[in-house]
Amino acid sequence: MLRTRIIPVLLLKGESLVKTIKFKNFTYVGDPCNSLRIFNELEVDELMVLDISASKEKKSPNFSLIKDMCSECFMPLSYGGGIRTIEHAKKLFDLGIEKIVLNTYAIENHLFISQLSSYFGSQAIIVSIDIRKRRFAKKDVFSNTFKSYLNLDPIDWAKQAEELGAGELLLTSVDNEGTWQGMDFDLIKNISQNISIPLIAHGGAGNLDHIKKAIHEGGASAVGLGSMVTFQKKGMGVLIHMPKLENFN
Amino acid sequence: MNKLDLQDPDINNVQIKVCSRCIYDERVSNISFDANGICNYCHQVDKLKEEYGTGKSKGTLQLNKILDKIKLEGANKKYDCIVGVSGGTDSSYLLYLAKKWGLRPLAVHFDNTWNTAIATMNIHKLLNHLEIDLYTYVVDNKEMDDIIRSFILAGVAESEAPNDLGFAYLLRIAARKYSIKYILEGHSFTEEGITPLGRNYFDGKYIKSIHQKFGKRKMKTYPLMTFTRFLTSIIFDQVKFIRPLWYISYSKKDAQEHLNQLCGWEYYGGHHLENRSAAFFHTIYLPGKFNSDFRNNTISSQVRIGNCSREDGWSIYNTAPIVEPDLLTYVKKRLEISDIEFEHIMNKQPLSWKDYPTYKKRFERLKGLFYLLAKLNLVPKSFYIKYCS
Repeated sequence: MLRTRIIPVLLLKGESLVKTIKFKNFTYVGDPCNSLRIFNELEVDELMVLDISASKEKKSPNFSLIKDMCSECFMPLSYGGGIRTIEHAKKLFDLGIEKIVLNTYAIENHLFISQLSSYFGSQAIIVSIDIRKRRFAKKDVFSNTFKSYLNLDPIDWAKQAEELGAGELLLTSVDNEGTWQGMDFDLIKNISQNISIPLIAHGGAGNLDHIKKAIHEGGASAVGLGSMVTFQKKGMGVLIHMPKLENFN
Repeated sequence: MNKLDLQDPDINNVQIKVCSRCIYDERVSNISFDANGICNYCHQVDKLKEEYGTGKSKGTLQLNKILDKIKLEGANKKYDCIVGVSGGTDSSYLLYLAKKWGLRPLAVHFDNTWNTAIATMNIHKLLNHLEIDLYTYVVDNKEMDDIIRSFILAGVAESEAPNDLGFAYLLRIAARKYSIKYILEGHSFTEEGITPLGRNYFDGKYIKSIHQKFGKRKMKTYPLMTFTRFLTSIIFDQVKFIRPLWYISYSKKDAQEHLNQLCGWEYYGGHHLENRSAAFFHTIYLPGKFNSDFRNNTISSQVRIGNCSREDGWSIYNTAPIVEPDLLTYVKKRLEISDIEFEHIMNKQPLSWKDYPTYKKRFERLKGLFYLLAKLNLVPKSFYIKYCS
């Protein structure tokens, strides 16, 4: 049996790491390079860094910071945020990024997924989908950059992303993110049943049972962790660590 | 790089006067020697031992009284005391003791974003094992770097002052937030000695003025302890500072072994080296620019308590400190200081805290008030001695 993949998902705002609750109320977590150094020592298998301010501020990826992060990081590192051209992607791979994560620009320009995928191979392309429940209505794909719903059915968009050439999906539940209260298991299940590429479930994990449930019942192939690797426990102080996974597989 | 005025490592060949009991020498500020060649700092330690009954039943009795008071006053609260943690030996062991004594401590950590992995892991292992809650304050990393950098550009020795004072104020902030009346400090004068007077100095005004002059960013997230905030906290929060290790016999080495067996806690190789900005300060910046080496503090204490001979202590002190490889490269990159600029900074004439605005005069004028506050344990006694005289 394959090992369960646990991926710390770190959020970059400017040049600081932060952690959010439902994409709001951010808390400072630390210096990106210093934090990656700590994760390195914790022998994490893979990591993901998402720049949550790049697209909003219409900025390109902060290549010099990414270069420094790559030099601190000995495990595979995925990066997302502000990627809008083939050149951006090329530069990121040259710096040592293993996989790139697309969100805003993939929504604006669907064909960008295909372009990148045919250029670099689908295994290097993760499409990130943020889902939020509309008031009195069903769940919708949400754009954090534009702070708006896209009137897109989550399953349709996930299927489409796969067809366009995504090699993996990052599925984030905005309503659950940072809450510790469990993940949106129905959503995870619905999506995983409709796609054949690996799914990284993210948002809401607060204990090992949540992670197990996302994998075994939800059908996710990996779980992204934010709060659980950032805080000592719910409501308590920032303290980078990795949950023990021994009794896990 | 290392400009330390290292003496002959053989104490018998030394040309300068060295205390006949510890390894403090005539270059230590405000030092004097008695007829037997013993320095005033050794006498100070003896006096404190006597006063606090360190390691004797007198000390235990005094401490037990304090512990009872803490428990009584905190009986209806979630936490009855605060222990500041860094991942280092003393604070870690103090947390263990607090729990053993039946206290309900809240651990408080000031994260300057320069932590080593080992410090972070130590805090996690220990708190998990002891089931202690943690309150952390993380400063914006770029802002913190800007503040540290401004001290280095200012040419003064106190580049760690922003960390130390930020931590001190955070303890008060946490005490107010959780209405806790006692802060336990992991200082041990037998293991670490008393910092010689007049060696360095810092306060809120010093940090603010240096940052205003040399910083590039606004101070937004750094918890700056201004005079008003300091006095407000003293008067309204009435938090008492207790140093339990002053009353009991305490050995760092035994503590490290004990913590290791308890939860896998690990030693990080030297006093203050659990944080990378502190490691830079102690092993590169101070020795390289100020010809100053704080290791004599700890080494002298180790000699006094007999963990190390005077000869060996002197020899260690006069061998350049071990510097973590890559540390300097990391610091330069992080603080955006080029190689040439760094060389220039290190070679420039050092300046002193006296060259910049501070609250020192104000503290001196209010000597009477702080004497009273120290008597009431509302400010540490060491504060009164250092800031008001």
